[in-house]
Amino acid sequence: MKEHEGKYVLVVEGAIPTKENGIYCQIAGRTAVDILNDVAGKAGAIIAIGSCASWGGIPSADPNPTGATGAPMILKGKTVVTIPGCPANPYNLLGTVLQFATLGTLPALDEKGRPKFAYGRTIHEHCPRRAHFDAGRFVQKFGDEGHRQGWCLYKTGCKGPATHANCSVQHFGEVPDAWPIGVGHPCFGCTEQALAFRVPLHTTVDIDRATPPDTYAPLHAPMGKAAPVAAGVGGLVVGALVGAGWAASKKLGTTEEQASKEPRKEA
Amino acid sequence: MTLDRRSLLTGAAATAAAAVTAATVPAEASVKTAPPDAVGLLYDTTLCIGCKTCVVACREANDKKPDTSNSNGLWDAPLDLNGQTKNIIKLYKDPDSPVRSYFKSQCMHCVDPACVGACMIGALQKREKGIVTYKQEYCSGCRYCQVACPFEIPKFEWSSKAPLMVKCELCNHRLAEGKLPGCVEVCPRHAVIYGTREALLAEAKKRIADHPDRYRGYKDGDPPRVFGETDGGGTQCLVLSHVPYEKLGLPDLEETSHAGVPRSIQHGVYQGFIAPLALYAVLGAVVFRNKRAQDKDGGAA
Amino acid sequence: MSAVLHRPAPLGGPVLTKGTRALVVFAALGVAAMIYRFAAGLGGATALNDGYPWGLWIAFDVVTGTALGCGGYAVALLVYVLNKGEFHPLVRPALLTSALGYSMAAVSILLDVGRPWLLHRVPLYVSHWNYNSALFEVALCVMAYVAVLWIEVSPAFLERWRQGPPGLQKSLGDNFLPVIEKALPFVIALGLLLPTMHQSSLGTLMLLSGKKLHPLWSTPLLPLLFLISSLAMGYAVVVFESTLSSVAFKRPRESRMLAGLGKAVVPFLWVWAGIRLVDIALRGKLGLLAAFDGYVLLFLAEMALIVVPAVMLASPARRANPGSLFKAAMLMILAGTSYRIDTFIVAFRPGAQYAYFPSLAEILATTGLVAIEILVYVFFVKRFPILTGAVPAHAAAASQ
Repeated sequence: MKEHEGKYVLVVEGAIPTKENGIYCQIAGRTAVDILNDVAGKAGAIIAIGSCASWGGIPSADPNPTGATGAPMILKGKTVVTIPGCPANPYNLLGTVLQFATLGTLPALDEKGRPKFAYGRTIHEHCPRRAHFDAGRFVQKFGDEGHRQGWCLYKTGCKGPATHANCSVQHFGEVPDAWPIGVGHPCFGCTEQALAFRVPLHTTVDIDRATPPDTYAPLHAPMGKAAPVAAGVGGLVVGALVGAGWAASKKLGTTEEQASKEPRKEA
Repeated sequence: MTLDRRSLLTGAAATAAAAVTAATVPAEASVKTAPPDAVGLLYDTTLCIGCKTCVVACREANDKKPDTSNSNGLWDAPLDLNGQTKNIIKLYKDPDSPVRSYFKSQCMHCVDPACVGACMIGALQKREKGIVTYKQEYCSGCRYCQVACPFEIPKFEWSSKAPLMVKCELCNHRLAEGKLPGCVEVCPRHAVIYGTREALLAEAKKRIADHPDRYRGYKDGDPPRVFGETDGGGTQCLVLSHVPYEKLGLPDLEETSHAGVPRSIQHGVYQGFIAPLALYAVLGAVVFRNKRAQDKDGGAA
Repeated sequence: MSAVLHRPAPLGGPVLTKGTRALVVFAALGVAAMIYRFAAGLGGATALNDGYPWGLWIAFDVVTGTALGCGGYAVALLVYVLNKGEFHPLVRPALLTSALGYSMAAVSILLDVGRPWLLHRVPLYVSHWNYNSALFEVALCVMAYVAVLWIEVSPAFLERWRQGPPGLQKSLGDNFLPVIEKALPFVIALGLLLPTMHQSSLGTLMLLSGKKLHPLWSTPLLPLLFLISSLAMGYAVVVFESTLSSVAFKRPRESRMLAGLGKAVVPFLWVWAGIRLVDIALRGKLGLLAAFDGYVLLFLAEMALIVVPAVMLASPARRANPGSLFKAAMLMILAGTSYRIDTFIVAFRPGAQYAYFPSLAEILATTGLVAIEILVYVFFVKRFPILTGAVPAHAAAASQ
């Protein structure tokens, strides 16, 4: 460590417990927090691999008894490249490390420290099943006809539209279709702190920025209708007015006849 | 008590005289032509593949959020132009044949726009290059432009507490930066192109001349023509189509703008405010005389 | 005796009666609907849409409401221009009804436009005025006319305050009454000019809707037709209002005067119906009547509503019968109302895909405004010298 001070790459794996002064993870009597601060202080680059190291992952899920958190939260003020994923895609680590080794630089990162080359877009944007989404062909439940046809998994809780990762174009370990959607399972959002281990597996997410579907607006879309209550009240008002007017005019005719028999006041 | 019917009729005629003169002012007096630097778009349905890239580009160029209100948040799927949609691709399906056509619905930028004639203090006006643009600080949200527009283009932000009118302004903010309108820039097949009205009209006529069998007129069987050359007094956005324009929902308009008639009435009656002032002078004199006489009578009684 | 009759006096008596209490309920519902309109926005509170941007509030409250407020205009025309001084007792109540009708229209405009807090810019941004816009002219004229109407009515208040105990109100009356009375002929002339301008322009408004307005309604003569119909409605409203108030307040009827009005209105009705028919014939649209669709039926119903009262009022016997006169007045009001609502909503065809029927909030706001209008009218005639005529014994006793 001393020999390569300022040059070596620190790759952090796993969440770091912080409760009770970090006693839940100790190596040779030293807490993980302590070791991390020590090693990170002299590192040339810091990479947190996996969702646990990135923000705490599974150990940080409620109720988080150990106060588990990720490396960026401990190493405040330092640049920590996060490569979340459960498991993280090895290619994304390789790409980052190779760039540092060859060019001495780190890739462009998003606001959560994730390399933009891998996490710049959502799964949804490059999903092989996207055409089914645009056409509104959804798997309604596992094993149904749509599921067999390889339709869109959105309604089964796919987090693809809100999950930033390159799974859909860089399948895990170069094995074709080795990723959740590839094997017919909804994406569960493992690269997103806001989703993974927080939002239930089969709950649908909001679409971040919706795009047009594979369908078209008709030339003349119907617009506006009469509310039955309003129509009823409107009818009552008009009816009451006409009725009252008619009754009044009838009454006027008779009272005038009576009045004409009496001497008029003004006369 | 006697009431002379003739005097009443004369009275009515006198007060209405102004309106009558106005109605007889010839509409030709107020026919308008496009400014020399008028720009517009030419949309050709035979080239459009319905990819809706222009719809997305329009949103981005005009900072409008996708409209997911009809699709439970899943898609940007407005049913028509609306308070957040200035450009939309619609689909026409012939009920009796396999003929289909896409149709790009947006502001036509009329040569003599009715909406501009409607607008009280000129929020909507033909400004640079004949583009009908909107300045919200002059708009009180009266929606007279919606009543006036024959194409049903200006849309109102109905759900807003401080609603504005929304319509295509031909990306005039992008034109000022030397860029193309958003929809034109992204169209993968140049189905919609931008240029001066003159050049676009020439291009459209050339296309018809080159492929007279490809294009149609207003109704089935009409000879092919460019929609917008004369329709409603002409528009700066032009349309070519392989389906009769009638079927695409485009209105059957006169060759002059219907904005001309009310304009000539307003001009005829209120030119220099002479007629109202004259009427006021006469009314003032008559009332003064009659009231004095009546007050005297009343006093004497 | 006639001198007494010609001096307007407050009716006196309680404002809150069984009838007005019911109106208070409608007024409260109306106020709630108006609050809801601003809380929920136009889209939430109304049934308006991009195809029917104008609905009940414009077609009824503003366009019909101002025509119903033409009583003052119509009577002033009769008294001051045609020099029929004998109708003078009708002027003040007619002006009050007009002032209330136009004020209601103004409130409705505030409800209807999307951003009412910018409306002041219409009169103020002089360099931006669009003289081509009929709506612009209507807006300016209506704003001015509301002011003119209240000035015309103001002597009623000032006279009353002048008789009251010393104080601000009395000094207002002492100082302003002479000034206003001197200026009144010119204010009255303005009060004749402005409605002539904007009642015709209300017709011009729908000319700009082009082919969306059904050809049986759309004509370059719309301004003239609207002007004539506004006068017919004006006279009808005076008959209506005067008859109702004589019944409601148990006052002697102004029967002979109203019969005179009934006679005066007949030519307007014939001219109105005649111009419509001749115009349609000249435009070569008579063939449309053969279609016998909903629009034709509507057109025929409108014409019937014009012609029937014209025939009724042609007979002196019917004019003398308050029942018939009142019926005829109602028919005329119905004629004008349906003509205006049809021109602005029913015969306006933005496309088959659009539909409109006023929402509950729209209806309640409108009925509420009418209720408020009647309440204010009742309050004013009971407290201020508006109505002319022998005062009922109990009211005379109360005011002494």
